[in-house]
Amino acid sequence: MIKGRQTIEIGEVCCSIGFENGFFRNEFDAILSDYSRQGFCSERRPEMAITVKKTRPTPPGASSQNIFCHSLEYGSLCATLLFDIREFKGEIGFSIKGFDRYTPVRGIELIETFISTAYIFYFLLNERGTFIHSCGISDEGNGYIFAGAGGNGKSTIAKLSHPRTILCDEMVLLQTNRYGEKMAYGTPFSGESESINSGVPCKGIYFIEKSKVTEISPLSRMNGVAELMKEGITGSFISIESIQKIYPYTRLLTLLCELLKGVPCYQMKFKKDNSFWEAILGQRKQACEKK
Amino acid sequence: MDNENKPVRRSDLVWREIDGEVVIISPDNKAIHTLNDAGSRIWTLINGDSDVNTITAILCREFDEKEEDIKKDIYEYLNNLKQLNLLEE
Repeated sequence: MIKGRQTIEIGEVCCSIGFENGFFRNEFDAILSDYSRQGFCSERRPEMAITVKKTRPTPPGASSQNIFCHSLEYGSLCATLLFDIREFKGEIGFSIKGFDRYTPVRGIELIETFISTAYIFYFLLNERGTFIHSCGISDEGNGYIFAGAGGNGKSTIAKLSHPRTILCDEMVLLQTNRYGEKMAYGTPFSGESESINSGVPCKGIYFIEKSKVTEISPLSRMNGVAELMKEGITGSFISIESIQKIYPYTRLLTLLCELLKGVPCYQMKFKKDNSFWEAILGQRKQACEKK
Repeated sequence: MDNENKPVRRSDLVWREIDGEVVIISPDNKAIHTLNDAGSRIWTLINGDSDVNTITAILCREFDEKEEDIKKDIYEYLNNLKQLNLLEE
């Protein structure tokens, strides 16, 4: 029996999450209250569904090409996601190694990882967009994405961007809306700052690096695509190699090329103050005047 | 590699030309290579149909350089690509 289904929303796509016999439901409530406060809970009809179960599902045979199977271990806790990539329905099940007991925090982290994986597939397979391991900031309704590996300064950028709106300081969704506009959306998968469920037109992607000076240099679209491939569009959730079994590099390259059309890319060295905003907005003003 | 040799890209590589520049992914080691505009033009021409003489003639028409310099650059470039294991043996 599935108890207490809850629907979450990321980038205007909803996913219903159910808990068989209420398993993990109480533990997940803490996360849901964060999601709700940040606007990621929804009443809309879901496009995806995931059910959390106590036992691990049996991996499908090699012939089941439409089922993505992914297992993760966190300490003594093992979890498996089976996800039907045609129906966008999946289940998550757990097992424990040895005589250990369930550790709710670890379980919740694994559930979040699998939810993000399901979303990654949804956006990719529908050729709509991709997550970017980045910090997203909205400045007067304009979106700026600051991409970088761990330690490159995503959280620092978020902290230095006050009073602007932080979309998310860890994982941002870049997707094309129905009018062909490239939009940056917040996701609930945040680091140190609160996220917000909001989407704004993306005005630039900045590949960041901490430095003693602030310096911004333009990158070609080809280099932007290469940086996205290198920096990871999936963060720590899932490796690009795992995704590639379902969504090959050829499609990924085509999607990234399309997504970066009209979205300027830059390399940005920044010092630890908010002067990079002056540089970004000054450069944007100049670009607008040229047009 | 002689002038009649017809160099060819490895068929398992994933690559795209974006605004005249090429990005290549090598599926075996996940390496990502980016080529500048001249390198990208050579890359698009090494399809196994054209030998070095033909490629040189095409580039001579497109770039304002001496033929011998262009040919030298092409050989150097092909050697680099070979070292990166991006060409068929």
